[in-house]
Amino acid sequence: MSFPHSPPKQSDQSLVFPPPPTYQEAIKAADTHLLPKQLQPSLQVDFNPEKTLLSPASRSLSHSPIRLNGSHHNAFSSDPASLNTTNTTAKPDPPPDTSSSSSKSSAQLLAQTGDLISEFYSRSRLHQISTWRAGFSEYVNELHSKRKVAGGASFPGKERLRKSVAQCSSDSQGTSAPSSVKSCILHVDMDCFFVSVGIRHRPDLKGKPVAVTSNRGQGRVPLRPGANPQLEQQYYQRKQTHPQPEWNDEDLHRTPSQESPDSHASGEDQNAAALSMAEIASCSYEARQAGVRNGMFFGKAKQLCPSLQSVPYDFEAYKEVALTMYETLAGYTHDIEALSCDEVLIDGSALLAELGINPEDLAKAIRADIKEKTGCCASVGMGSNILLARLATRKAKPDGQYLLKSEEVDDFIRDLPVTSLPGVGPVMGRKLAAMGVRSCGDLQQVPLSQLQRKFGPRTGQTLFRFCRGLDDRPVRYEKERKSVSAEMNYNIRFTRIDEAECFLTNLSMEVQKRLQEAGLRGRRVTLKVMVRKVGAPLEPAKYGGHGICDNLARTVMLAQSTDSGQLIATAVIKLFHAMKLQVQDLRGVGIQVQVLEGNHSVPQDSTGQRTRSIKEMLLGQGLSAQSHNRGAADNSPHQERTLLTPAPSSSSSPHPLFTPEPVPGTSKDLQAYRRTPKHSRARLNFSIEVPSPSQVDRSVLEALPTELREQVEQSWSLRDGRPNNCRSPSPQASAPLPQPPSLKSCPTSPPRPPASGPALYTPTAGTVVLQIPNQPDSLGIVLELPNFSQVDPDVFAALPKELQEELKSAYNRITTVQPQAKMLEQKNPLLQLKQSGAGIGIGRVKRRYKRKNVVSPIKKGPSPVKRRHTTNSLAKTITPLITSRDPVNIVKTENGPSTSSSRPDIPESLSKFAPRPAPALAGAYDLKDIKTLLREWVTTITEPMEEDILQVVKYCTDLIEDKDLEKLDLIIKYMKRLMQQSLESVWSMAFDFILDNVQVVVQQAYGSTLKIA
Amino acid sequence: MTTLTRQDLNFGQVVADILCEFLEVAIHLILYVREVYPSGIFQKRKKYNVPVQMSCHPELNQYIQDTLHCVKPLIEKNDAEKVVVVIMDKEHHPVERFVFEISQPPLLSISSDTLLSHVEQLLRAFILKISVCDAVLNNNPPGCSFTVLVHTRDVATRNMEKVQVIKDFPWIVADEQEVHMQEPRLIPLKTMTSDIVKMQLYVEERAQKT
Repeated sequence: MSFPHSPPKQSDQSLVFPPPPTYQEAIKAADTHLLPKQLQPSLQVDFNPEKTLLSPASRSLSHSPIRLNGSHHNAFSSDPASLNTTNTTAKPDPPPDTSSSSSKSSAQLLAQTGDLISEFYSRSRLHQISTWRAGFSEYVNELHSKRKVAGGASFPGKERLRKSVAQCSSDSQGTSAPSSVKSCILHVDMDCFFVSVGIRHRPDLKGKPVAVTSNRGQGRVPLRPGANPQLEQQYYQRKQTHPQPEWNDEDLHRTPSQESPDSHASGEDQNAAALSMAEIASCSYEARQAGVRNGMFFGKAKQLCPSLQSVPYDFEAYKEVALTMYETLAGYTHDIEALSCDEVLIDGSALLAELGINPEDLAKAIRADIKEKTGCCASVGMGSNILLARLATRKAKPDGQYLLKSEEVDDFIRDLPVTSLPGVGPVMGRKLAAMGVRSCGDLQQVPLSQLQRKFGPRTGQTLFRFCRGLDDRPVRYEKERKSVSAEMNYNIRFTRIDEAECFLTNLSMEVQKRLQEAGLRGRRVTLKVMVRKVGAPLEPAKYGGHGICDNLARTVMLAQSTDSGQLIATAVIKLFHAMKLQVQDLRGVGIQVQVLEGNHSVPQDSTGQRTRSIKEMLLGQGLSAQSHNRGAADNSPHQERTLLTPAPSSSSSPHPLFTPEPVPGTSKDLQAYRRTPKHSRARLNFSIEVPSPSQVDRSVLEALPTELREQVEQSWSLRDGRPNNCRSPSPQASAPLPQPPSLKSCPTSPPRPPASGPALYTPTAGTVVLQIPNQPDSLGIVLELPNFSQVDPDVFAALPKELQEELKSAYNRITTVQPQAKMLEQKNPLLQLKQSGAGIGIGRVKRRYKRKNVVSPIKKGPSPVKRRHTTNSLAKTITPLITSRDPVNIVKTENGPSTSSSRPDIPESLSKFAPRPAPALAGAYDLKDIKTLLREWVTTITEPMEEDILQVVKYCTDLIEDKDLEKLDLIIKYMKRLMQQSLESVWSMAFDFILDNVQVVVQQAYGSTLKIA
Repeated sequence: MTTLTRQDLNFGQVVADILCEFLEVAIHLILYVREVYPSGIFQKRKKYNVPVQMSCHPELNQYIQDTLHCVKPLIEKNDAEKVVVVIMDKEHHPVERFVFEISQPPLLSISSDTLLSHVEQLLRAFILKISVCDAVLNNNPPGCSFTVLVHTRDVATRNMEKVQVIKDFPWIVADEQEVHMQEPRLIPLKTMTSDIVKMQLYVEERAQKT
């Protein structure tokens, strides 16, 4: 069990807590963004009706769900609620405190911000709750691993149920034959969890309107000077009534008052200013009838429902009840997915089949069990998939159960408003409403292509499926964390830059702590900041709150996975400086680490899960600080083991031994880690915070919350528009050429000692050529291929003929190129050897790296090369290792004509900043986006619609007019590959049609036709 | 640094200087890559931080320089629409055309890229693309020669006739024979958009070269 530390016991019950963040956020989004592969993060997290009011943006990021709160405020004491009773006294050591900080030394600052953060996190209760989900997920994981060890587990609940079933069937002679349920998901959700727990022992409150909140007065507080609630409310109102298409603005949607939309409609703006801004975490069904909603400000709710009773938080009880509930459920099955502390998904298929009962009985038993053990009611929704189960829960509430039978699904879902679908928040709801879509039935009428155009390929498809009740997400009891982060957006007021730096350092340490707790290491570090929006009041209405903000995010890819707070801090401080912000305007800071590696299922075991890379090992000293935390003694034997791992064994695994343990088998990870050297090269070039578009793994980008993705893209265009002014064209600035990583290029990690390169590189059977592209940096000087003498002839012979020939020609070229290179070096010592590959050599190097870029957009489908093999029926002869893309590079390397089809994407990104509207296909104009779009189009639809084809033709025509033949060429060739290899002959015809049209236009414009190789 | 705009006198010059410099490098490289001249007359040099090949034949170099000298005023005034390097076979029928299509970006300024490093990067990409263009082109027949054509906008030709930039080096209107190509195939090579110039390079290739 690895639960977070229990929150400090609340000693003084009369203490007034500041307004909590909206609950569901705190609970669900929290510090773990679990990004299911096929869904946007927001699609997964919310479902309950009471939660749909939150905007998706709010959950996905930036606005920290975690705020300073809880008992921390005893010290701060100018909390709006407590102003009544306590006058502001000394503020002990908040870094934002302007008066005292100017004279502080940075060491003091460091200590103080450190205190602030650790105090915040150790004492913030809501933060605790938010970590519970991870805790419960781990609890479930634990159950599984325990069962593996013990070779079986006891299921008391199941046994009991079995007995009663046996009894029943003997009584009634098996009349209730097991219904033929193929798959049944149960969604168990506690009814108004916080309220029911809060009034468990207070029967007097049962049946009355009750809200859990921190404010227990009349819901009014005096107005603080400097705050301008009216302005904020107007702002939110304006946002609400005039939704802006840009995402940027929608970021701002997530605001407290957004959840209480009618709060400003009542013409009580003057009064509203003084209303308590304490949010309601949860309210009973009686209160809901009066119009009170979760997330509403207490002051407002009190106006709506004067008899509203408030109940304080009782975190210990929540934890206890939640744990009891999980234990109860674990008594039935271990196929549990923890959604939050009060929400669980159960895959009941196996259980039902085993017991031979129907889902209704199981649900009844579970509910009775929970009710008995916790004293709180739970509702259970059942359906054949997760979506239907959750939808059924809506109907089951309160305190009921509902089985959505497959024959009812169509009727049931048709009348549901679209906003009840998971992932459809107010923003998307409005967009859909603008399309005339209100119910799922309406949505069913919208063709997939239109949805994809409007919302992107992934979201579009999800919508398309959801509105038909289709959902293929499995119940995943073992969850992989996608990111670890720490954020604060409460009480952030800096005056000096070093304060901010110290804060970042300390926040990084918090991230380090969390990474280590989870046994993870990450590579992609994102700094998210909230900056006061220009013109917004200096003091937000909510004390210490962030007010109206712009959200910015910058990302950097570290050269090496890390869990070291120091490394993370270095990276984020760099990002921070690059953003050139006014520190005074900072309102929130968050650090997120993604691209995680490590064994998550054994989180507390510090030795087994972490593989130190050789680099770290060799640098032992520099990184020892990081390993101190985990115990150097533990590490050293382990490192030794890494070193001694015999090469053959490493070669049998898809990743060579010197890699920082990517999760094997997932191509994404492989790819992610292969991107490192490229990235460091890029930084030579651009000195950027965000890797250039072509270098970003598309799937990672897509998995990012929409908001974050927008920002990444924004920053690209920003950067393109404002190229590095101060960088002289230094000899290092050649983009496509391989460069050994220098200190400059990997600010966060020292360079790999050159000695390790060749040593590691010694090929053994099976590793041969395939590793090469993984290590372009350590190989910088050697051209891409190992010496021919190093190639194992057996392996070479085992390759398909085609590959053999490619390789041969590659070696021939090398031999011609290398002498030239040597000559040149003698002539011109300034010219580095690796750059001297002459025209051909360079081209080759360049193409190779470009090829990698191209891999990502097509990696989900079979790569074009692979397809070509398939058509040649060579695929069978290719070993799995070979198909793992590495040799693809080699093929590409020398494959002259076909290389042209995989031309670089970099120039597109560079050329994209022109103010004139670039030609766009369904809103996409980046080559990668377009490729993704086309791929989705071709792979998901069996028969293209004419209007879509015309759309593509129109886009191609635009490209010709825009004189961007290069892009046109790439797109045509991409479509050719996609469409001609599609099984449906209609696609081939569609391509011919498109090509004919394009050729006509090219002919008109240029007097010649495109050569399609 | 002050912002130069379209109106500034020297702005056109800056652009023309950059482009002509680039075109010179590109022409040399094209002649090398397409084997118009024996590779022995070429030397390896470094430009845009990448290796390029430059002829060391004085007369050829002079010809290229003179040509570009005459192209420059056109580019300065944004009168040149295309600069075309035509490779012709023995019968002086074009087999390949390297077309540099030049236009001005809608928003001209070099304020954001004062050191023009961005432009340099883009030009380097062109050079690299030329270096490898043999991969996508068919081989040329032996005994080729080359010439440089300029497609001008509007009435620029009239002014050109009045002003001879270099004595005894006049522009002449191209023969139909030199311009027309049978069954041209278009191969886009590179497109760039920068603050100062928008340019794309494509090759037109005769379907049957021999």
